[in-house]
Amino acid sequence: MTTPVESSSKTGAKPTSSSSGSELTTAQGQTTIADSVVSKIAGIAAREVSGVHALGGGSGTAKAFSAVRERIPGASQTVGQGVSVEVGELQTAIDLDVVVEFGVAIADLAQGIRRNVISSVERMTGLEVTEVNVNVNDIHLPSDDNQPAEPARVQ
Amino acid sequence: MNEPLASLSVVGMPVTTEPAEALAALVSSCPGVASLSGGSLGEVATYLPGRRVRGIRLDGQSVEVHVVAHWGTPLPPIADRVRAVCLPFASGRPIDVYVDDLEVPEVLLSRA
Repeated sequence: MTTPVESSSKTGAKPTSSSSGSELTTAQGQTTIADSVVSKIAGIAAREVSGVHALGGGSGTAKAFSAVRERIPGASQTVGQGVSVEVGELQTAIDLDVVVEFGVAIADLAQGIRRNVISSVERMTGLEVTEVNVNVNDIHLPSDDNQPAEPARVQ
Repeated sequence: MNEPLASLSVVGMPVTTEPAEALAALVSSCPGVASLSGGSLGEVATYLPGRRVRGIRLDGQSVEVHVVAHWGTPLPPIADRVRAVCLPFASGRPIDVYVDDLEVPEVLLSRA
């Protein structure tokens, strides 16, 4: 089941940037924050919201890639999985692929994710988050957890 | 006799430290800095005879410092501390600080 919920406004969160007094561009030089840094922070912030089962899921190819990645020895589950970011000098935009738990109000959850991701990224990096797009790719049912493999239809 | 050996330390390393090496030691001891980063290919470095200093570029128009930060600390203050440490080495050049990666504790990684 795929339930796309997209929103590109930063409602529900106030901009916290430029309140810290620490700027990324100073008279003595620039501070550049890499994409992987923003995606790690966003990934962890999204995952810690109650009701998020996992990040990722999504299209057939994305699922296939993550299935392959799980089988590669040494390839850890990346925190940046299911997160894609664009980072500029002062701003960043974040796209999230989310698998939600069954029994949550998805719109409310998306709002909660957005709030947590924006506040974490802005507090940690000093970048202004212009948008957080939440793609709800799948819903995780309680029965998915310990379901035995389907019995063969033919003996 | 063995005069040239006088300039080498016991382990055979030159006693004189290059500015890049001194700077690398200072930057990696900054609070919030996990390590210096060589960039995605490890090419960001100061190339010295026989060795290279990862994450520091001192030659050219600017001072470039690439770091991996610890999880949990806001990054701009870390960059400010790094920049402050670099100031004596900059001699007027801009100091560009790159946060290339974050070191995330296992606890946060394993939680699916």
